[in-house]
Amino acid sequence: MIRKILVYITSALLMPACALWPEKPIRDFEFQTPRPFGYLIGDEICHRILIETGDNIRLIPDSAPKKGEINHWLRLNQVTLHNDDDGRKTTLELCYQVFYAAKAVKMLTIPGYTLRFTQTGKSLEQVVPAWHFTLSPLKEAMPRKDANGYPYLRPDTQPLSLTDAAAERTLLLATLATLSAGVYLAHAHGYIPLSAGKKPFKRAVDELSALSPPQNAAALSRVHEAINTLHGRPLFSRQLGEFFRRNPEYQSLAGQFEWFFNLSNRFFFAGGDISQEDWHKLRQFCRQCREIERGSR
Amino acid sequence: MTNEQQLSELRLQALRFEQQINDTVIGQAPAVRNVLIAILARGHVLLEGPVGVGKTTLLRAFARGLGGQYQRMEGAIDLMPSDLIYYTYLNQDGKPRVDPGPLLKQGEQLSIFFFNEINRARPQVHALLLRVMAERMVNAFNREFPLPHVLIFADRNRVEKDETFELPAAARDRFMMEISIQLPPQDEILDDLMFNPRYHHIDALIGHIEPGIIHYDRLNTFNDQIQAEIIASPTLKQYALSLWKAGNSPRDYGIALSDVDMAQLVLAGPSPRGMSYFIQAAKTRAWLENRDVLWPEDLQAVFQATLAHRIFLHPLYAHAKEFITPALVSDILNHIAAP
Repeated sequence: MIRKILVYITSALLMPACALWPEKPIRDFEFQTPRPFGYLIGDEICHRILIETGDNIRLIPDSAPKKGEINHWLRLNQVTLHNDDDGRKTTLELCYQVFYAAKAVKMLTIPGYTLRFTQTGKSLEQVVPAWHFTLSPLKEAMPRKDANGYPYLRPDTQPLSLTDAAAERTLLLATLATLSAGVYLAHAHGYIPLSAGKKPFKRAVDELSALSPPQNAAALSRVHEAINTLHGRPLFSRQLGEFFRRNPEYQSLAGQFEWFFNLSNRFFFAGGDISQEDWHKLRQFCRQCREIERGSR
Repeated sequence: MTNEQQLSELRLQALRFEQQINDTVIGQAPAVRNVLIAILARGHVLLEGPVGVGKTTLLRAFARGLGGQYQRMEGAIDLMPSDLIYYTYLNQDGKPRVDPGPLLKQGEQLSIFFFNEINRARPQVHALLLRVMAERMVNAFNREFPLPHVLIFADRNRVEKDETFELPAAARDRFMMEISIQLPPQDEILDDLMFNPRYHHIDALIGHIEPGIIHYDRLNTFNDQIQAEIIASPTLKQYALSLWKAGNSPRDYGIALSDVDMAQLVLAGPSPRGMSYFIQAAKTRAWLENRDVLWPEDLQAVFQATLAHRIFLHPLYAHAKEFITPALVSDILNHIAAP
């Protein structure tokens, strides 16, 4: 007896679970439409339908209207169907074009249709209602006449001028590039006075040309200053290897550098003199350095 | 043989001697050149470096090539000045005897006195050495003992600081050079030092040095001739003066070290005595290079060894002098042009 009572109680508890309502197959249906008035012949009207379905329920694509003529004045130009990743949300976009030549404001109707869904072999339906809108004529009922008695014609829309902005932009960029290259070359070759400070041999050549043989110490010092400026610190003959490693473009003048340092050491530290030939070689050495500095060698 | 010929012969001997030392103590060519210059310029040398890098071997090799007598003293905290001059003992007859200590034992034949780990000795001992270095004589037994040819070579171990006495500035200033001897960086040399049996027996190694290749008792005279013969031009003198001034006031010469207040960095720069040693060493270097005129390179070559230990830093920076002083010296040489 007690066992029977327990079975009844358990059955009574389980019954509500068995009696749960089945899930609603189409949870949401939204028919988005534009304004229903103010259209002219040739206008496009786009509808969007948002559908949210339950699990395993899919729209049958063939149930959507097909592209093409709906009737003699309505054409369906575009049909776009999009499903989200889990397939529950479907977006259907339809773009119609109206070709009705109304003589007065007229209400027209885009016909409704039925979307069909499939759920594990079973079929469901959702009706999309017809949509009404008003269409206006392009011209008045009694158009004015021109001097010849013909209905007047509105002037054609002026075509847009071809833009030359792209050509202007290209020209501007080319000009800037040319100017930049010119400034860089002038700088590299030492033609810009403001950049002469970074071109020690240009200054040395200029100053050397203003000196003459009795001014031996000044002449040698000018060249030393130029070399020191280039090296970033005083350079001595034993450091020439390091100098050439840092300034390999001057390696071709290694012999002249050694000659210069020997000449300088002889003059400054051993009481030697500088001959006319030494002066000539010194100026030539400085000019050669200048040529390397401006990239001419 | 004229003086010029004698000097020329001495130069060849000195260069041969240098080569033999470099074959004996490998990987230390700059230090060997500096020690050779100091010996020829009659300057005392303070050697500095870790233990076991060849400081003693180097000095023994030099002592053998110089001829004369070599004495060695180990610095210790209980060492007294009298221990260098005499020692007392009971002879086999049981009578007390007083014999000359290491400084007096060899008399005027003493050419090198090597004081090992000088910073372990007390300041009293430093004071005695200071007089020996300055005057090349020592007072004992109520009379003066001249040591005309002696050169003091001291070694300072920087690894240990306990129970050591830092050399006073006056004593350091009397050393012509402070020469750093470090582990050679080249792997092949280290490999040779480890595995070549030639370097395992120091006595046999030093035996390869030609004994008395340059005679210690002629060096004072030769040095006088070298110092008189080598000429410094006005431009060179100006360069040396700039180096000196930069050593005292580096900021005035645009020298700046990172994280250092240059205005208060140098407490005392090189002394006139130090600059005199500096020029003497530079002249000797020029002579070794077979020149009779000083070049800036001669000054630069001996600048670190002769002047770095004479630059005394403010106590604020003294703890980092091992890093700051070499950087300062390098910057001085890199900032001052000649001409």
